[in-house]
Amino acid sequence: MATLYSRNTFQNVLFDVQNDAARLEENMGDASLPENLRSWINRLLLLKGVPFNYLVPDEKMLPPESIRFFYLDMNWVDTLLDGAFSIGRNLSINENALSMNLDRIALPKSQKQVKSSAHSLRSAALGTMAPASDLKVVTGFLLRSKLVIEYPGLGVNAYPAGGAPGEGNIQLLDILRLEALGPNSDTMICLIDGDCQRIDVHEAPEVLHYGIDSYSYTADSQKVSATKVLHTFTVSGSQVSLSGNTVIMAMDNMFRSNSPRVVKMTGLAEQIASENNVQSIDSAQMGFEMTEGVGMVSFIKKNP
Amino acid sequence: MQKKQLASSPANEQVTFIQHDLPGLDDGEYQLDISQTVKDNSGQTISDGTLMNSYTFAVTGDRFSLAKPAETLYSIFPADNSSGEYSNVLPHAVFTKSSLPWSRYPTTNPPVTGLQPGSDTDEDVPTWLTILLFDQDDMAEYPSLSLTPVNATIADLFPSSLLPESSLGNNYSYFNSADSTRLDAGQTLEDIIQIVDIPLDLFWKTAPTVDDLKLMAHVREVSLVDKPTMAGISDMGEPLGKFSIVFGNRLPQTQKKSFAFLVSLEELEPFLPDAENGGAPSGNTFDGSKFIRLAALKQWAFYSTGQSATFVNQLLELNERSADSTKDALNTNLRLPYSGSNQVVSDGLDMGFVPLNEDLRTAGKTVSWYRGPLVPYRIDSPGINLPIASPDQATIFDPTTGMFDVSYASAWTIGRLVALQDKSFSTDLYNWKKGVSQSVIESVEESIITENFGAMLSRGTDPAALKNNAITKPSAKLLHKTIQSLIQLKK
Repeated sequence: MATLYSRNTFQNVLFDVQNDAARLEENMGDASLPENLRSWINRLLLLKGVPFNYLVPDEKMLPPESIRFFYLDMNWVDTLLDGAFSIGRNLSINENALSMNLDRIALPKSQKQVKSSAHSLRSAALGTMAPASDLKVVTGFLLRSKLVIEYPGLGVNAYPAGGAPGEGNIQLLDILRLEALGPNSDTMICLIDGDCQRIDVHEAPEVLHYGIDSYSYTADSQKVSATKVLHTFTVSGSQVSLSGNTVIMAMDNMFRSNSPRVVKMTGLAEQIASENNVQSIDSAQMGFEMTEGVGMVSFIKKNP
Repeated sequence: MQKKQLASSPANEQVTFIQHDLPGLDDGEYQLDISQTVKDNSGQTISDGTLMNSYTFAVTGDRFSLAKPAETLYSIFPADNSSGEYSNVLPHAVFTKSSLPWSRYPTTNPPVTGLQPGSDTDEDVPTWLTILLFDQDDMAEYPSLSLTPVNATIADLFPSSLLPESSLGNNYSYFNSADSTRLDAGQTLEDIIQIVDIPLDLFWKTAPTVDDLKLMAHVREVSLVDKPTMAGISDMGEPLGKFSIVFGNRLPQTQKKSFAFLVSLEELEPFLPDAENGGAPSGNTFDGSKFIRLAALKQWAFYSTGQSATFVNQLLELNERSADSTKDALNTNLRLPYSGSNQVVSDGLDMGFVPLNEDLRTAGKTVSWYRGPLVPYRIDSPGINLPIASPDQATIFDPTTGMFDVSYASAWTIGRLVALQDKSFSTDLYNWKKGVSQSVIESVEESIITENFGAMLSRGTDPAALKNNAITKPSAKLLHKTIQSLIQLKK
């Protein structure tokens, strides 16, 4: 009885437990990270809050008007997360401190928990379902260009090898993080879950401009000659469907005579309507007839 | 309201073009009258007269300036101070608020009447916003035209006959037919706005008609899923976003600097041309040599050259490549360019490392390799044993160069620093860890009790106090059992 109640017994058992990973884990219970800690570490996992010069240590690595593709070094990220997780760890050379041994069990568990919910930040912002993930390979790019400021909503599609359009089944890789690095920053970071082979960057459809295909004005004769390629459509009820054909519409008379670069919008609308054999068109139909196509550039990884 | 869909991008993304998005209530002041009478079955009023109350409220919105330009104005085209091939395009502005172009009206009277708030119509509705475009040629033709931004106050929009301190004189503006200086709720005469004075003659040549305005704005609904996270736009928990877009009606002139003005045409119908060919409205009594003062909600300038500067071209020209080149870009990874001949250094830089000065703890100085997390090639994990107790455990010695690689050591340090910087995180993490270690100690204690008092814990029947608990800690059980035996002993 005396030995049982002595503090030594307890200390010895405790010491044995903390030196035995299996027993320690057994005695730890569930120990999953609470939501607020998980989401904080989640942000760090996506490199939010890491000073930019830790990501790009030299400006010459990312000069103006450049795009740089990368793999995310998961060892670096794991070490970063361990640094954050080390709060409250006894930083002594004694490898067997309780706090150290606890972290040995807790760290992999919480890293796994954080990685499996890596998509939750972006999904929450978009109101979509977060895909499950183990973050085996993360790729991405940094884009530094005026484009980032001028085209705030530019779209990014990422495809794995063999999953790009024209290569069989189209597979899209999920985007983990895509944002400009500040309100007026010309640099954008994109992190993609998976090994991506091709990245398409396309214009945002909401900012596509109205354009015509040719315009010339002869000052002597005061004549405008202009054309616009129209995609014809048919209307049935409130459904509008494109026929897939195009016609070249002459726009010579679609400009004001006393100001030859000002478009007669109503006249233009009437002509678009007559090209499509409909009574009249509204601003929405005008919108898609006058809008120029989405500009897109594909970046494809080539193995040297 | 008709919706039109158009598939555009390879991921089969849909864009929906929508005619308009009418606000439930136009901007302005409203009075709400409520009355209640109680009647019996036969329709006789049984209450003491009519209960009545009246409330006034205002729907406020941008009028002569944008209160929050960074949030409201999503994008302009062509970009401010840009140069490129813009001679075949119409300038435009995109707004994050889809009903903004219809929250006021250019006509003297509301264009749509009898519409219940919240309902919609197929009718064409003119927008009160438009983009006027002028260039150096217009300045040559109209020497009085000034295209630089001018700061003014709302007071300067009133004719001097109504407000002597106004700088408008007897020229024209929004309040020409006003009989008082009354403004909408929330506006004062001192509010700073930007104005532009346009000779009325020039205005008649370029301004759209009311019918034109019906075609010069629409709404686009797009998916936000492949877009960057933008505050207030794509982080609202909605995968679809609605934007409104307003166009100008004039093509920019090549080789000339163009000045674009997003202006309000609110209730300016009498000044707008009424024929699609432009010119003075029929039957007007205005003097074309005077100017009309417009509030500019945004102004910008661009230069139309013969050279293409489209989105695609700008992307193709990244990484010091020319747009029409057939060659691939040379360096597409994050690494320093190196032109020397030292193979070891060249290899190091190619792998993404950078030599950086390091201050050693022992007060010495050295040069060490550093590489961030964004590396040029795939590195499989785990390559490092975690957790570690000090960054020194993550410092790597590179025997080929005799230098340290402090990449992971830096990562660990910055992780720790970022965590320490956020007090709420570091405290919460510390407390959570304390909780975990507490539960280990507790669990060990309980197992010692189970081990040593197993016989006593299983003896006899459980006391009533323990029966309803699903899980009973051995320590609690022991306590109860001990008390139980003591009681029995006394009996």
